[in-house]
This record gives sequence, structure tokens and C-alpha cells, in this order.
Amino acid sequence: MQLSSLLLAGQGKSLTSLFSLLYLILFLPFCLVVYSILPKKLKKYFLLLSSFGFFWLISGELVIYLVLSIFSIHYFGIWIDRIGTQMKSAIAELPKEERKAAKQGYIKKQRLVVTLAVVIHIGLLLVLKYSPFFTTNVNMLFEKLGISVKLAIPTYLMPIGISFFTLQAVSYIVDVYRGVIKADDNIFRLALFMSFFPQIIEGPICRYSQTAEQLWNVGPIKYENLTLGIQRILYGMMKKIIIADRLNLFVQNIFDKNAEYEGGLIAIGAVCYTIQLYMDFSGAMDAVVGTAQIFGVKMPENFERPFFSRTISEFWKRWHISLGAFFKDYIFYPVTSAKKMKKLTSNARKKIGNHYGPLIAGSIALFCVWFCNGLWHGSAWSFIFFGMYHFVLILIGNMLEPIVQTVNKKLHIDPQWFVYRLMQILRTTVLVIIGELFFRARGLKAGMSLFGKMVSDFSFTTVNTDLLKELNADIYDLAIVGITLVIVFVISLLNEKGICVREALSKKNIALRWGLLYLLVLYIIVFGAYGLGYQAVDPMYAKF
Amino acid sequence: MQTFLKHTLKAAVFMGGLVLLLFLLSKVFIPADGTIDDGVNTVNANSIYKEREQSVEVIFLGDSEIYAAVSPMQIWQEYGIPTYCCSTSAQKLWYSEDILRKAFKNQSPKIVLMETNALFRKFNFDDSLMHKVENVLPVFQYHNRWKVFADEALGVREENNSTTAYKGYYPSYKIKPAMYLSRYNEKSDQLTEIPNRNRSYLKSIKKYCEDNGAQLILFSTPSTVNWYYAKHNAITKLAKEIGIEYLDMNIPRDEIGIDWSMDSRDTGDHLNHFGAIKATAYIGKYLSGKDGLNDHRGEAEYSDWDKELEVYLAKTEKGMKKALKKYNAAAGK
Repeated sequence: MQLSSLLLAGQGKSLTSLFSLLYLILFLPFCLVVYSILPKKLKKYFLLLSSFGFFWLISGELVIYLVLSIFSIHYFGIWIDRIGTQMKSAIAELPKEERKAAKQGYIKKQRLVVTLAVVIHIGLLLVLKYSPFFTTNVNMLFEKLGISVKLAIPTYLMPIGISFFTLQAVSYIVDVYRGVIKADDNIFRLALFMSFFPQIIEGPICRYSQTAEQLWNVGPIKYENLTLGIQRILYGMMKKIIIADRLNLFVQNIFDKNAEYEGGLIAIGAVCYTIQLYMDFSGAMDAVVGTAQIFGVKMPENFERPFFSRTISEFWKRWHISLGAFFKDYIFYPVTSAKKMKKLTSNARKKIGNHYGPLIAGSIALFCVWFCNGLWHGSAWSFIFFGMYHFVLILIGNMLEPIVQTVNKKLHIDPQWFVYRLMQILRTTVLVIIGELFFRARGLKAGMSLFGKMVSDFSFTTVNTDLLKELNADIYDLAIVGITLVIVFVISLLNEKGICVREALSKKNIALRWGLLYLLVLYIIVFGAYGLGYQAVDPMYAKF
Repeated sequence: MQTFLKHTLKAAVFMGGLVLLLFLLSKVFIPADGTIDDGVNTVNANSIYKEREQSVEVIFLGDSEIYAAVSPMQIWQEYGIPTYCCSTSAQKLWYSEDILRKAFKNQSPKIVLMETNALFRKFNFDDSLMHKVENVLPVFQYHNRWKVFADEALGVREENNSTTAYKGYYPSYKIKPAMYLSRYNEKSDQLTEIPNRNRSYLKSIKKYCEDNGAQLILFSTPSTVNWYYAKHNAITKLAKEIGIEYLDMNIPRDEIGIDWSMDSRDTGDHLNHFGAIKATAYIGKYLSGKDGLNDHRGEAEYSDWDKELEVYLAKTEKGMKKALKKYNAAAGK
């Protein structure tokens, strides 16, 4: 087993999956045992130590990025706070008429500090993640212009999760500036908030006010939390290992052998990829929330059954919630509430009415949000297109809203009618799947080609069991994926109706509870896509 | 404290029950020893169990590079040496060792040719742990046999005899020209790292072969994707260090004559049947020069090989004809 090799930094690569044996059989149990033995006051320090140990194992010396980020936001936060304190004491001594001007001076100073902190964090992310994309495009431009200059394309080693913890750092510093939270003078508490091991790879992107205090005040493990947490992890594991991983080879075959198949098969591939991505990412989030629950920490949910959404806007309020909320709070609102935008809105209201008036400023902010959202997912034109695609869809939705309402009224269609809602859900799902096709394709050109083929050659004439088998999806694979999807659908439907299955079951007798739990574990072991003939699939969102 | 003990006891009973269930399930899932079901995803390689005892003289070990490049039936046709490909896709060395030990149960090969691509394949903690768990609870290894059970329940299970005609070889008639030849052609003095764990597995496989009277030889099949000079250098050095013969089929390129515009099934990674014919011809000639390997053509005990050769030739000729027709049509010839 060569455990000694794990002591080497960056050697615990398989830890990047919260469903790996290394995590579930060794790392997590070890943490739980030591955590349980330690006295209450040391538990939080142990969590911090294990979080850094975890990050060290998966990222090696790149842990330095996390350390520097923590130090910087700690001191920037204190700096902003100190300016605030200085401001209070200074203006208290000033006559009333001079207070406003003095206050503005201090606020300007705070703004400068917060801008500096944000620029450092986002700048670093831009350099590490986007400079190869930028230089490649500059080179292409030079080539088109006939300039014989070729910039060297830089490559940097990036720690896993940098896109997640950078946003968390930015949210902390901006919240301190906004006065939503006080700067934390305890660097260990801040470090634990930034590095808590289950969330460091794929999020959710937490706010300081959501988890920092909870993490710092952890207590003994409660039996109920332990069982509920394990059940949540197992549920996520079922989604990941039975559905997402089983679809992986099939999806790879469709997308990586560009445009060789007829449109119907490409459409099936796009549907399967959407399912794979959802099951992979939401399954990982189940493991994050479940692990946190074991320690008595309530993590914010990152998914709320997005495929029950009736519009694209609603979809993005239910899918990767913490990212959407980040963009809303730190991009959309600041843009719309800027002085010039407010003026634009008030002028537009007068000219084009109360619905379309605010839409202009809102659309500019929306553009910024979706541009950033696309870019956050990766440095490629296909991701920018993905962002713009959703921007346009939401924009059209906003613009058509009054017309749709009028038409519904005239045709006496109740928007709450089941069939109407179902049609909306189906439409939203189809639009999401098209977006995911571009998201998964190997570049924008490939995405366009796949989409073109899907639309122009939509047929299923070549689809048969032999072809499916060749594409690593025999009829049994599809059947087991289908059955598991039905299970997930039923559980999601109950959740949608406000019923928590785990809590409902916890009230049942032990024979039923244990029976179901055994069934779930054996179901995963027998029907999981692992072992010979399967490749372990890294968490899909870890690369973004 | 009492509650803690109660909960601990409960958890222990639950875990005990789970382990018991896994043991019982393992009994259901483990296939009969020495059947092709031993390795549900690797039926081709495991079909060696169907071979007559002590009949195979050479075993090929490694990943998909082998079953795409070496056709034992062609070697039989040309030199009468009974060989077998025990190769599986993305094979890791722990599995190479496993399948080798299983093969030696019924066979006493004189030569084991091991492809080198697997030597660079890293495997992590999860692989090692899973391998150990599989030995205790075989349901983890054979869990995919639920498909076999489903076939049986539906009455659609077919006895897979056809694999024996290929002897572990997996012909592909797709023609997809190699795309990136620059790295393949670029000479280099660098050494690609061979993971330590793989080095120890190789030593262990070598010792096992020697203890059982077989010679272990390393060889690299032609591949523009998985082979480059830095890998060649690393294997050459390692082979010298531990005293193993190394045959690199990417070096005598003119002699083998792979045409990368025709002979690959997937843009230069694996060979197709056209490429495999050339690679096999080379390896057959190489083996024919080895001591201790005999020509068994025409021997009564090997009459089934002659019969299977007819099946093999009929199938491959049909496949090639179809592929060439398609290729020529696409090329407008």
C-alpha cells in the first residue's frame, strides 16, 4: 500500500474525489477518530490542521497560494476595519458640517484598500488561469495582422480549487468593506473558513457569515449527525458512481470523436453529458454537505433540484447556487446600483415604462455577470459563448415576460396549470442541454459543428445495440442509469414537496432503516462503474 | 458514556452485518475457477483458461496496445508457435501479475512478452487498496457480473467461443490516420519517469517467470501516441539495470513498415488489423529465432488450432475486405 508515499506532498491525488477509498476509508475515518478523542477546545484546531493536511496532500507546495490568500485577506480586512474605527473617532471630534467630507475621505481610503485586495486576488487568478488563453489569442491576432511576433505561451501550476477559494476570499473582503461582517482578528478562524477540507475542491463558495462561526464552534460528533451525514454521502456516491461515471465513456466517445455520429446520437450524448455533469457535481456536493454535517456544520446547499425549473433564470438560482449568488451580490448589484446606472434607469423608466426601463441597466449588469460566469468556468471561447448563450436567453425571457403574460391572459391560460408548467420545464431543460453541449464540446468550433449536425441530421437510423456497445453503453448500462435516475427523481420530487427523506426514514423502525441502508450500499457496490474496464473520473468541477 | 457505547456497538453490528452480506454476495458473484467469467470485463484475455493444459508457449502481457497489435493466430499460421494475448485495456501491473499467475495454473509458457506502456501507468492508493479488498471480498472485482446474471435471467446468454479463434487478439478494421507524428519522430535523450511501484511489480513478475522456467522479455508495440524516445530511453535503462531483454518495435521502422496513414484504428494510438499484420510478422520472426519454441503445426494435439485458423482467416479476410471497400469509397477510389 506504500502509505509512506502519502507523506509526500501532492501524492494524495486520489483524495481529490470525496468518493475515493483514500478519502472514505482512510482520511475521513482518521479525522473522525482523532477529532472525537480530542477535547472540545482543540477540535477546531484539528479541523484546521487536517484541512491544510488535505490540501497539502492534493496540491503539494501549491498550498502556498492558499496560505498567502488567507494572510492577505486577514490583514486587508483588519486594515479596512481600522480605517472604519479611525473614521468613527475622527468624525466624532469634528463639527457637523465637516463630518461628511471627512467621512468621504475615509470611505475613499477603504475603497482603495478593498480594490487593492480584490485586484490582487482576481489578478492572480487571471494570470494563472487566463494568461495562456490571452497570449494564444494575441498570437492569433498578430498572425492575422501579419505581425511576425509570437508571444511565449506561459503555463503555470495552479492549485486545485483556486477558482473557489479566491471567490470566497473576495466575498470576505467585500463583506468587511460593506460592513456586513466585522474583520476577523483571529487568523485561525479565517483560515478554517477558507480551507475546510470537504469544500476546498469544488465548493460551495461559502460566505464568512454562513460557515466561519459554525466551523469555529464545532463540538462533539452527534450520532444523529453522523448517520445522516453518512447517508447523504452515500446518496451522492450513488449519483456519482452509478450514473455519472457509467455515462463517462459514452459521453467521451460522442464528444471527443467530433461530428462522426448522426444528430440523434449527438442529442443523446448532450442529454447524457448534462445528466453526468449534474450527477457528478451535485453528488460531490452531497458528500461535502454530508461530511460537514458529521462535524455538525450546516453547509449552504449548492443545488436545489434545478431540473424542476420553469425558466433559465430559475435554473441558475437552483444550479451552482453559491456561484450565482456570488455574481449577484458582487457584480450584478454593484453594477445596477452605480450612480450612472441608477440615472440611466430613472431616465429609461420615464421613456419606456416600468418594465423595460430598469431592463437596460439590468441587462448591462446581466451581461457582466454572464461574461464572468462563462470565463470563470474556463479560459476558452466556448465558455464565453456558454455565458453569452445564457445571457441572451435570460434577456429574451425578461423582454418577453409582459407579452407572454398578456397572451396567457387573452387565451385564458393559467400559468399554474400543470401542463403549462410541464411545458416550461421541458423547454428550460432543452435549452440547458443545448448550452451544455457547447460547454462540453472541445472548443467553440467543435460545439458549433456538433450543434449543426444535431439540428441538420436529427435521426436515429444508425442507433442500435451494437453501436451503443461500441460506444461503451450497452443496454444494461442504460437500464441501470435509468433505474437510478428514477430513484433520484422520486427523492427530488419528495424534496421539492418539502419532505426530507433521510429525516422521514430516521423515524422508522431499525429493521427498515438498516435494510434500506444495506440495500443502498450493496446497490452502489454491485452497480457502480468502477474496477476493471472503467476509468476513475476526477470530480468534473474541480478543473474549473 | 453509556450512549457512546450503545452507538459504537450499534455501528459495529451494522458493519459486521455489512461485511457478512458482502461475503455472501461474493459467493454469488465469484465465477467458477478457471472459467472465462474470471474477469468479467476481460473475457478475451481470460479465454486462455479454455486452452488445453500446457499448450501455450508464449504469453503476451500488457494493455490494449498488445491486443491491437499482436495476432497469435498469424504467428501460428506462419511459425506454428502457440501464443496467447493476456492483455486488457488500461492494464495496470498488479493485474498483469494476477493474470500471469492465473495463466500459469494451466500453462507453462517458455516466454512472457510484456508490453512496456503499462510500466508508465501510475496507480494510486485507491487501486492498491481496491486490489487488496478484492482478494478478500471478490464481489468488488466481479460486481459487473450482474450483466451475466441478467443475460441468464433473460435467456440471452451466449457462450463466448469466438474469442478463442483470436487467442486474445482484438482486430479492428477502422482506418484513422495518425495525426501527430512530431513527438514520435523527435529524438531525445530524456528519460520518462517509471513509477517505483511499477519497478517493483516488474521485478516481481520477472522473478515469478524465472521461478516458473519462463523468460521475461519487454517489448514496445508501434504507437505514435503512447511511445516516444524518452520512454524508449527509460525502458532501455531499466531493462539493462535488471537484466531483461528489450525489443522496441518503434525503432526498426523500415523493417516493420507501419504506414501511419493506413495502419491505425485511432489516429496513431493503436494499430488496426492492417498494422497488426505487419507488427505480428515482425514479432513472429523474432520468436522463431528463440530457443525452446517449437513448430506444432500438423500435430494432432494442436488440430484445434488449425481449425481455428480457418475461422480466423475467414473472419479477418471478410473484415479487411469490408474496411478497404469503405476506405476506398471514402477516398473516391
